[in-house]
Amino acid sequence: MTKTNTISLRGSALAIGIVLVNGCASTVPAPLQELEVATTELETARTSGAPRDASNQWQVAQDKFAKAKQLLDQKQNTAARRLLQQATADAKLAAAMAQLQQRDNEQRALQAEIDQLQQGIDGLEQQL
Amino acid sequence: MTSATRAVQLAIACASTALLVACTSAPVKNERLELARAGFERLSADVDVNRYSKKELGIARASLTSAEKVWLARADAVEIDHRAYIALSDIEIAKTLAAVRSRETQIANLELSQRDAIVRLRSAQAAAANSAAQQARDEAARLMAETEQLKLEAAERESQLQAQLDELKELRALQARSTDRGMVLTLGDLLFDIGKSTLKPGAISDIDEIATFMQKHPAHSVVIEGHTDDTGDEDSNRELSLSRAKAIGGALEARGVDFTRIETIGVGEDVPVASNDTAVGRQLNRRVEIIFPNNEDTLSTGPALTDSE
Repeated sequence: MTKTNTISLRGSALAIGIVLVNGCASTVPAPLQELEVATTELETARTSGAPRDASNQWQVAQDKFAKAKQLLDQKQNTAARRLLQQATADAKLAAAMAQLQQRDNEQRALQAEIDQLQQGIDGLEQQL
Repeated sequence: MTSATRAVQLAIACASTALLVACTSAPVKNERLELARAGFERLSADVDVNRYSKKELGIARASLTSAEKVWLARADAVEIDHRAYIALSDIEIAKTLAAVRSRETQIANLELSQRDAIVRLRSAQAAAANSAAQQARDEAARLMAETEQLKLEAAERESQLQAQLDELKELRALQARSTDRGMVLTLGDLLFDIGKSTLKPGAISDIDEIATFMQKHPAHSVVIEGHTDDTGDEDSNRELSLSRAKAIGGALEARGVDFTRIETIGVGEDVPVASNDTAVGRQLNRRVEIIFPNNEDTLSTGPALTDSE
């Protein structure tokens, strides 16, 4: 008796869930705000030098953004929203990686200059 | 116990059993969410992250919480995966930005080191330039001193040569001739009467000239050799030739030439310069030779004077 009740309870909860998911899929609005945010972040990454200094991560972000726009055209709004959010995160990471690459280059160049200066100093001090 | 009460009890029991069954079966394990949990744990323990990207750490925490929420709510795997992906990205962003800011601090320090190195290089360059200039000055001074010394030596050498040349000219003027033994001046027998060793007045001018030369060149010594022809006894000829040499030596001494500079020798008839068979030859053999030994040594070194005594 108890067992049967429980099963029927779980069954009806599942049924309600499926109804909700199906119902939402048709009525989800287009993720226009996510589209705008992703566009902005991609632009920021581009001006940060990501295409050159973090090319792989930049490619991931671009690909996802392109796929998201396709999905938007097909009115698959939920999948599009997810991809736009992911593209946003990918673009932010690309911008950060580009910055890191640039700082690394800067640091190496600076260290090389200092080493060269130090060599010059050592050379002169040996002469004296 | 009424049937109604039993019914309520049963209902409560059923409900609690239902809850218990629901809770004991945990949500399905999500691999990406596991990764995000582990990643976040490392992130929140990271020193650089806590120093440089506190804000991004907070964003990552919110993303992870959001993923946990849908997982606990047993949302579908696609949504859990999606939120876990965002959480993983936010974790990476926080980590990367912490590294960027840590680099910026290191770069600022390196810029200070660079400025310091430039200052030190400049000062080392200045020191090297100073030292090079000082070396050049020292070298120039040394070369100048060396040049000066060479000039002095050349002048001294020149004046020595000039003195020797003058001397030679003076001796030539006295009719001296150059021989292996030095400059030799031959005075004929007209200075003395036959068999005598007293200077005739006609000898005075010759003696004066020799004395003047000796006084002018105090480094010079002189050897005076008397010679005769082979007429008469050999011993007395030697004696006569010595007396005549001494007479000339005495005359020089009387004119201020120190006796230590004068050596007198009586050679006698042993070293003729011509045949004793003719009157002309005999006259040539009767002579006094005034010898000025080669003066290289006597000029340059004092001790030669005492050697010649």
